[in-house]
Amino acid sequence: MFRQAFRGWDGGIFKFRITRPDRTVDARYASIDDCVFHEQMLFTQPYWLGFVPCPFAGVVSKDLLDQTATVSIPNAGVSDPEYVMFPRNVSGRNCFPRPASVGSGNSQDGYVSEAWAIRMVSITATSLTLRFTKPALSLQSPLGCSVVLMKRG
Amino acid sequence: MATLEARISNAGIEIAKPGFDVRTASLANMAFSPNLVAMRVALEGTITAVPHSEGAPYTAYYKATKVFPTPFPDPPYALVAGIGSDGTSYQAPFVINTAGGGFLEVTPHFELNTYADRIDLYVMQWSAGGVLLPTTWKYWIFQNTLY
Repeated sequence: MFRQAFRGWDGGIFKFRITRPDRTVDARYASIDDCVFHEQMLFTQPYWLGFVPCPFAGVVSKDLLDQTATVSIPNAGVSDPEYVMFPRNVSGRNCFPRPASVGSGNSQDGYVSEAWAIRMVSITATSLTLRFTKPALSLQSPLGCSVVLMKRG
Repeated sequence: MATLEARISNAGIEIAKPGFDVRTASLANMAFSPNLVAMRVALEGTITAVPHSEGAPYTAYYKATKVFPTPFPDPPYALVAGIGSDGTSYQAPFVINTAGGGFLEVTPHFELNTYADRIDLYVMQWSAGGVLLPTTWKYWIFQNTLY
């Protein structure tokens, strides 16, 4: 007789598992692929969904702008999370991977378009730093970037 | 008092890291905390990008929209992947920049826009750098919001 569900401490590890109906493996020893639920699914918990404002949001300039922005995040005991970035463009849309943009202008005064880039710089246990770069002659700046941080489990 | 390393209470599911007590552990010493966010897949399926009549910057793109049955408070966390005819999954966001003729064009292979009530997906309709993009895309909408 095997168990289809197991919850409790086993060998120093908290296990919380429900196996798939078509599997005959004991829940206590089941891999995540054998489960409809497995405690490791909890351990990859997303722990921050937030917004990082661009330091030069709203600026219209033909100059190169290149700045970093740092925000505080809750200390969830994680220093190397998984992350996903959703840039937010000049008109407030979350655009992944980035907005398409076509703008008129010339090589002297610049173009009314969005050619910026956003990079992840660093994530510590308590802070997150992004780098926003707007190239010269592309006039528009992003508003910022939505970020999802997730534990690795 | 014995160490209580996990419990299910009216606060939710609480699991401390081994050796810590859920009643006293700091957030950093919790394996799972109901004080942090959680996500589930709220919607998933496929959408097909088709021709549309919108102007720049989307004239070179096909478009697909998925309207949510119930709007979220804010734009949800959404992912997409193009499904090739051979079953492969396509996510590479290559970008083509061109300047001249009075215009600067910045054209990613695809653009996913998330709103509280829908997603709009634009897919480049011509062979992008030698890659012919699929028009069938899988989407995942998670039950939590950006911001």
